[in-house]
Amino acid sequence: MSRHVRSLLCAYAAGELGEDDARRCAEHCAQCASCSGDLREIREALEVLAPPAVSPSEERDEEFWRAFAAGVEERLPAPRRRPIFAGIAAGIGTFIQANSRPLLAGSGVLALGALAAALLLRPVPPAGTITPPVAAATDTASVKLHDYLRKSKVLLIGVENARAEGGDPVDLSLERRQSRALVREARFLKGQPLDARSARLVGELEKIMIQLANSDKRHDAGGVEIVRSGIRQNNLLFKIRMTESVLDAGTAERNAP
Amino acid sequence: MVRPPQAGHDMPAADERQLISRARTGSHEAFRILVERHMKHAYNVAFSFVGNHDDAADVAQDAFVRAYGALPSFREEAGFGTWLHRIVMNLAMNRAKRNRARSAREVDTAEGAHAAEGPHGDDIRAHIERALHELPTLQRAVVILRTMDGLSTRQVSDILRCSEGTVKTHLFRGLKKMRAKLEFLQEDAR
Repeated sequence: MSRHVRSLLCAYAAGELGEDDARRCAEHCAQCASCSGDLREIREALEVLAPPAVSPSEERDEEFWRAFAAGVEERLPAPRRRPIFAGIAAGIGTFIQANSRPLLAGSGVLALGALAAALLLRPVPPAGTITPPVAAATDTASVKLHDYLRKSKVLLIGVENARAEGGDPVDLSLERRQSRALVREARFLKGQPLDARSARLVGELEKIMIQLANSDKRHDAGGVEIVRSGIRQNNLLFKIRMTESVLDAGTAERNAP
Repeated sequence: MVRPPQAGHDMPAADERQLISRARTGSHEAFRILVERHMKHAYNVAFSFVGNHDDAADVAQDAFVRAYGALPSFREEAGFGTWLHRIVMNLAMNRAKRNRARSAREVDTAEGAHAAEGPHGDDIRAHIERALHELPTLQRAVVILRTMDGLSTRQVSDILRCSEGTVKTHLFRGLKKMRAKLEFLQEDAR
């Protein structure tokens, strides 16, 4: 009798062997009760473990995948920025290296020091100050507000349009996670100098995001309906678009030659 | 059958290497492209271990976030897809273990209720999952990756960092155990 072929049986059962190895397996199994028994068991196991005809990812729609990618991006740490002091120090160092004459180097150091002092001592608006959109568009809060409004809009449209299919409950687990992230963003924005319209809208959105985040998992159709009616009653999508238009107009005005 | 994207599992293509290098310097845009390329496959792999959509989405997202954080240590010896696959698999196995521990009591109760009726429909999936989770870790990983995710022996050996011979041995033993554990399903079907 030829040598046992146990190491080849799985590939043989799955039809993955080349012609020669497959023939060797078949011939051996025809005369070896032990290997043919193993082959039968493996075939039976493979039959039970057959992968589904439709892969799980195909059961998700395009909207889900857009939200998935956006959700990952949202959770990535912000790119590390070079601290201002490091930049100033590096600038001074480079200048000294490039200018060997001490007098010139000294004046350069003084000039760069003055620049650093001007940057550090520039006036900062007190907390709670309402900044007009045009001015707000120039700072980080405005960028974050823009981003927050865009994400909120996508999420709310998704919640509005999510419909149960084939009697299954609406699965909004991803939306709930995103709403929790947006609640955190709203809390950050509320501490920033926003114009009155934006501040009011962020407050309203925060409430609806909290409702969405707290609606029970999967089966709470009632909770989702409350969120939907909140979106409609407060006219949130319209308000988001209006605020975005105002911010965009401010940015365009600022960038105009 | 879930087939991995080729570019992901072979050595990374030139443009993928470029994306990885940009993502390493903090480009979210580059990383997003990598996410879009690999997200469906990562999701399917996660699903094959955890068995439900909610956890699969969670695990796959976590895997990408971790992969981003670990990019500086990614040495590109294997493809990005293989490396990511390893991260997804580890997270998914941990999640499945946690879920099982949490729901052990519920499963026992449900089993008692179904025993008289015999396994049908979704129960079969639950029995398969249970049998899979009773396998030793490496055997479980090999069985899932080879049979449910449809990866080749070489791909599985890359992901698990073991020889192809080890993969074959674990698959053989794992399938035999699975068949023994699930024999009653076959008998019921006859």
